Amino acid sequence: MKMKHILLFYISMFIVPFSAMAQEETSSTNDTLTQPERYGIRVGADLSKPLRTLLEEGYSGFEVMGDFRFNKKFYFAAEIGNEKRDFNEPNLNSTTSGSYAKIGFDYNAYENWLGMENMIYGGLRYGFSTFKQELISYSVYTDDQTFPTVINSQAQEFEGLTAHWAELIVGVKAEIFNNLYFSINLQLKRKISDDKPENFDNLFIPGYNRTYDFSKFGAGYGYSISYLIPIYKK
Amino acid sequence: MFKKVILISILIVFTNSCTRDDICSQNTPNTPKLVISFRDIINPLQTKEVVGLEIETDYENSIIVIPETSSDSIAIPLQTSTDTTKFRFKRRVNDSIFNIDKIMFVAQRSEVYVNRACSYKTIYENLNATLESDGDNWILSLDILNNTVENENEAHITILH
Repeated sequence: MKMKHILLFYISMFIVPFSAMAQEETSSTNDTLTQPERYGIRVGADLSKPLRTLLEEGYSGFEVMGDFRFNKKFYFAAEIGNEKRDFNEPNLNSTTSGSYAKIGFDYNAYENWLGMENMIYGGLRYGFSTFKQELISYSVYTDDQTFPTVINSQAQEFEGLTAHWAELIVGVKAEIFNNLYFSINLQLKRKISDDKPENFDNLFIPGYNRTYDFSKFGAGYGYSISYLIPIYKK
Repeated sequence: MFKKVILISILIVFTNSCTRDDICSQNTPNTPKLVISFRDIINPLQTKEVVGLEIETDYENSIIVIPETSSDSIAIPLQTSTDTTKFRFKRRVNDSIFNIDKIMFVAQRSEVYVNRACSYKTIYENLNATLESDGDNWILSLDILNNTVENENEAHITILH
């Protein structure tokens, strides 16, 4: 499943720049038939997170998002959300919970047919999260079986942790009903900095998804539904 | 070209990081063992093999840690749940008799985070070793070289015999 997401992500990464180049060349200016395009604020919510809350043990979260079209190709975009995730392994047990915000822009690389307003987009985000980590229990790892291992269940809480990251996002947005959009996106993240709890690590960062011990990169995905509130036409 | 290079490098970093996290690698240092070297009482600079050495824990239901061997250097585990660990160091005298010497190790433990797969390891500080005198000890002297046990790179204790 994870490999599929990664693969999809790479495919999208390759396709977006090429389609962007190809589309720009073919745009013609002396078209007599012009239809004004709608500009406005689009607000929505992520569907994958509530669904994971229902289906996945040890996860809960939600995300709301908005974007504002400020020129033909560019949109201001922002997401805010909250996530809680458990880490349950036989020798390590912890919970992370907190809120996050992401701001940035999307670039629409798709040249629409007349009257359509779909997007194949790429964008950049700056992500910020404040969260807490709770170390519930752990056992000391040893490769020797002579003495029994004991589980240390003295819970420790690390509060007020923060993390910053940069994010590359690619996706498609399609208008399925009037003003109602469905969107799928993939995110590649690179951690800029995070507060490490003393004698522990951030196993998960809300908004960033799980961390990797040997890498500053992370990945995520989302699919969402959003509604366009048109403000003016141009 | 530039794009491709970036993408390939991202790919390498990204796919690399997926697999290494989930299992605790044998190469990751975890709870260190206590390393003991055996030396000659007459010439303490000279290592001296103990012939017919066997080590077991000094508790009810004792467990053999080192089965009978001849060696001049061994590594034994210390307890991760209490500060003291007791062992019986046995040296074969003849076919049916062992000379048994008891040693008690005491150290302050602290638990250090390793990573998500290995969780924590214990390191030991202020290590102390006491040899129980029984009138017929084959261990003649016990020197602590390094009272902090945080790796297995060199001997922590020398036993002279």
